[in-house]
Amino acid sequence: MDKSFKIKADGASIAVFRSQLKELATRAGLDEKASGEVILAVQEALTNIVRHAYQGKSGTIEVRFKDCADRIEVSIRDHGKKFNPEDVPEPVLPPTKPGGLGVYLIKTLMDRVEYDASCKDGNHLILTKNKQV
Amino acid sequence: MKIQQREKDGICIFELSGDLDFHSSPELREKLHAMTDKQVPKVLINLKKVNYIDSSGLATFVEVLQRIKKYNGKLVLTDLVPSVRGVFEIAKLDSVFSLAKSEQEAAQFLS
Repeated sequence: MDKSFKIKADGASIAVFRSQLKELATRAGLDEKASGEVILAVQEALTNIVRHAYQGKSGTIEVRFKDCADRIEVSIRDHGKKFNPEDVPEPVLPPTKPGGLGVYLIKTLMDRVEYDASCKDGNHLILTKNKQV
Repeated sequence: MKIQQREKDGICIFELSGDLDFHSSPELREKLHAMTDKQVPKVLINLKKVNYIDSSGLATFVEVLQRIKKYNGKLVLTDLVPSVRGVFEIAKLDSVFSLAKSEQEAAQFLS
């Protein structure tokens, strides 16, 4: 199964997309815990786009959900300012000040996080979660 | 997100319902700031009806805890569902916040 979405880069649209993502994750056979982890990681990535790539300005995000035999892949594409999660320093835990946990959560919750540095316009992030066999 | 506020035995209680995310956090942040501006000494936040929290929600709680600590107030979070507690644990924030299983237990922490 392969499904694509175009989402407005704002908090309300991201929140609405969450229920669609949950349905896809469940249909892909992920259990509740894994499904929750994927949802949170993807939502953090989308929030980073609103905050850092588009910086609150209007824009669109293309999300592609791919259900493979042994894993699910979520490809997230925007056309905003460059934001490479690899450039974000590891947070000190527990945090002593608010913020800075988004990228850490994405990396912790997903099995693989790839940032396509060759992407000329905007950003392209691919998040992978392995299925438990 | 629905935010209900009440007072019981000198404790300011916030009852939250819904998802606590990037979209809903600013509203909660505003209400909690209004409360800390008054230097309310004992605060309990009930998360029984919150099934989803993201880093924006966590940041809101870290910020309010900092503000409460500044005037030597106390904050307890109660009734976290497993998925929400799990996010606190990943961020190691379960060691920073007082997490209670019920409002009764939270009232003991605050006494």
